[in-house]
Order: sequence, then C-alpha cells, then structure tokens
Amino acid sequence: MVKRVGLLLILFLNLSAGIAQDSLKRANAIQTQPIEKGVNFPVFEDRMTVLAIGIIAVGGLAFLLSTKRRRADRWSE
Amino acid sequence: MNLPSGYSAKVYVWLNERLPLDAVKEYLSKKTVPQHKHSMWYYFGGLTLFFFVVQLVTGILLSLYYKPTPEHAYESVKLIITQVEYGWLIRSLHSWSANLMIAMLFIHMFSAFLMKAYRKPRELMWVTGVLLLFLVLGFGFTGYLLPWDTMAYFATLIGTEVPKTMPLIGSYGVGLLKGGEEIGAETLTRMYSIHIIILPLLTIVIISLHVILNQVLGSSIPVGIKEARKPLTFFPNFLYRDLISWCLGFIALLTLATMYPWSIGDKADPLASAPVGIKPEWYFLPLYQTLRIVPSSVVGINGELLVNGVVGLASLLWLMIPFVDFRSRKEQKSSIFTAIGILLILYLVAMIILASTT
Repeated sequence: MVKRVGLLLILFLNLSAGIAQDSLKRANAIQTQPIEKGVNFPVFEDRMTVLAIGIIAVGGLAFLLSTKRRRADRWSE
Repeated sequence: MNLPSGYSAKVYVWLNERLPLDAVKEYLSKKTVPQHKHSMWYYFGGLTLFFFVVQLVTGILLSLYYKPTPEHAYESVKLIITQVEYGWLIRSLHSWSANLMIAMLFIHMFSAFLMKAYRKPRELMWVTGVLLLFLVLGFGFTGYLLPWDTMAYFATLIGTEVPKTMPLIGSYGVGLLKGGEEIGAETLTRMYSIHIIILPLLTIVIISLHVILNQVLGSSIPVGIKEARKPLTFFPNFLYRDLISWCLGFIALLTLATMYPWSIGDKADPLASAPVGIKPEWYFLPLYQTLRIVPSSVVGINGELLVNGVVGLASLLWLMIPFVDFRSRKEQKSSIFTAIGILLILYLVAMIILASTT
C-alpha cells in the first residue's frame, strides 16, 4: 500500500512539474506585459511558478486525504 | 476507542488526560451525515467556513502593513502589492476568497432553502445563517473602501447615500458609519475598525453557534427524499471528504489569485468628479440595478425609499422563513416557497447580468 501511494505520488509530482514547466514556457512570451496601469505585478512566469508549487502542495495533500478517506470507508463497511 | 499510533500517540495521550478528546471523538464518530441525491450540497457550508478562515489569516497578514488613513492607505496597499514579499499574493487571496466566500454562502443558503433545511428543529440554524449573510455583506462593504482608490472612494460615497432615505435609522446609521458629512479620515478609521474588529468578533460568535447547532442537530434530509445509502460517519469519513473539498477550493482560489491578481486603481481624489460607470461589487449589483430600474417617484413615494423599504421587509421575512413556511413545519412539501426561492435566484442572477452589461 505504501509503495503504491509512493509511486502514485511520484507520478503526480512529475505531472505537476510538467505542468509547471509548460506554464513557464508559455510565460516567457508575455512576461514583460504589465497587468494594470500603475502597478506591475510579478511577471506571469513567477506567478505561474507560485501556482504550480501551490497545486503540487495542496494537490498532494488532497491525494493523501483521498487515500485516507478510501481506507476509512473500507473500515466502516 | 483506538488510540492513534506513531509519534502523535504520546501527545494525544497527554492532551487526552487534560481535555475530553476521547469524548469528542466518540461523539463525532457517532454523528452521521445522510447520503442521498442532494448530498453534494452539504459541502458548501464547509467551503464557506474554509474561505472565512482564509480571510482571517490573509487579513491578519495585510493588517501588518496597511495604514488606515487617507494619506497612507493607498500607498500602503501599493507597498503591499509591489514591495512586500508575496504581498500581491496575500492581497489577491484575500480579495478573491472574499468573493468566493460570498458565492459559497449564497449557494449554501439557497440549497438549504430549497431543501427546506430550516424545518423544525433547525430554525435557529437558518436564523444564524441569514445573520452570517448580513455580516458577510458588511465585510464586503466596509472592506471595499480600504484601498482608498478612486473606485473604492466613489462607490462608497454612492453606497452610503442609498440607506439615507430610510426613515428614522437611515441618516443616523450613515452618520455613524461615515463619522461626518464627507467620506474622510473618520470614515476610513470606522470602516477599518468595523472590518477588522467588530464584524470578525460577531462572525466568529455566530459561526461557532451555527457549527455547534449543525453538530448537535445534524444535517437535514429534504422532505420526500429517501436515503440512497447508509449514512456516512462524520468522523472520519465525511470530514475527509470535507477536507478534500477545501483543498480543491484552495486550488481554485490560488488559480484565480495568480492568474488574475487583484489590482488597484488611481489614488482617490475627493475633489475630483466621480468617474463614469461606477458599480459596486457583484453581490450588491441586484440592489444597485433595482434602484436604477425603479423610478425616482412611485405613486408619490420616493423610489429609493420604496426599494429600501421592500428590501428591508424582504430581509426580515427571509430571516423568519422557518416560522412562516407552515407546510414545511408539518413535514409537507411547500411548493410555494420552492417557487419563491427559484424566482429569487432568477431575479438576483438577472439583475447581476443586467447591471454588469449595461
């Protein structure tokens, strides 16, 4: 069970990293574009990195909770 | 009762000797959540709570840099966005989670209304829920002025004019909120105090009551709906599902906050004329659009006064729904109230679309 969860987690992290890389590639094209007059937010690239890290962290947590939920469901059956 | 294993066991045992952890766990493991075709709506209450917690955390972080004076408010927000590490993200999370919290609250409230979840013995759950809606709208109104940009200033200026027509309390209430005739330093200080002290305290008290009532009374099953499967145990089965929905909610929030970071306009100039096309936030658009539609005088009555009166009465009626829906009280289907709920949803959506597009 632990191995299976570990493998799935690695797969998930790989996928997330892939998505993050893709985001960074797309970001390069428009990174100098200001979002709103007067205030320039961090470039698109940096914001997408934050998003990718967030998705990996919270998505990973959701995945772990999901495995725990399945185990809890099996227990109560 | 099984004790947790691993490193946390000692901590659990230590705490359990001092707090009634076993008793709480025992209680929650006996509490169940019904499972039927409308069960998915049960998650929206938890999501509203989650976004409120995000509001508290990000709000505390913002308050470390924000300065509630007309001279410094705008600059402090600009500093947060441009200079403070991840300040743009914290502000975006705060603003977007406010909107998501209100959206989740509306979904939760209307789903509870259509499922008649306010039936005996859950009347007080409904009353506390509607009070939370008023408080949350208060958060939106008081928080809007804080960045002190042009839009915030003039929207608040217009927004505080609307309740003035209400007899007896109107002008007094507005005066209390503004602290004078103009929107100025006193208004900003008062809005800030209400936003970060008064409203959070009231909200935490009423949320606690709402959640305790939910734990004691459990979730309601709609009239005529049969449970499809055996009910879920709250702890841990439903709680895991709730936590997963929170994770998904956070991912949605983070996506919005990073893809569409919350911006700030030009600094407010009270001497300048109001820019064209000022509109309030989406949750105030139905009221705004209704005021636009209703003529200034209806059969000799001031239009604004009429709208305020009708909205005030409707809000009171909304609060008292469990006590006036007699059929639901007898566990019978009440089609009239279902129709009222659907018409109200359609009206709100239509007014939001109309106000946004015209």
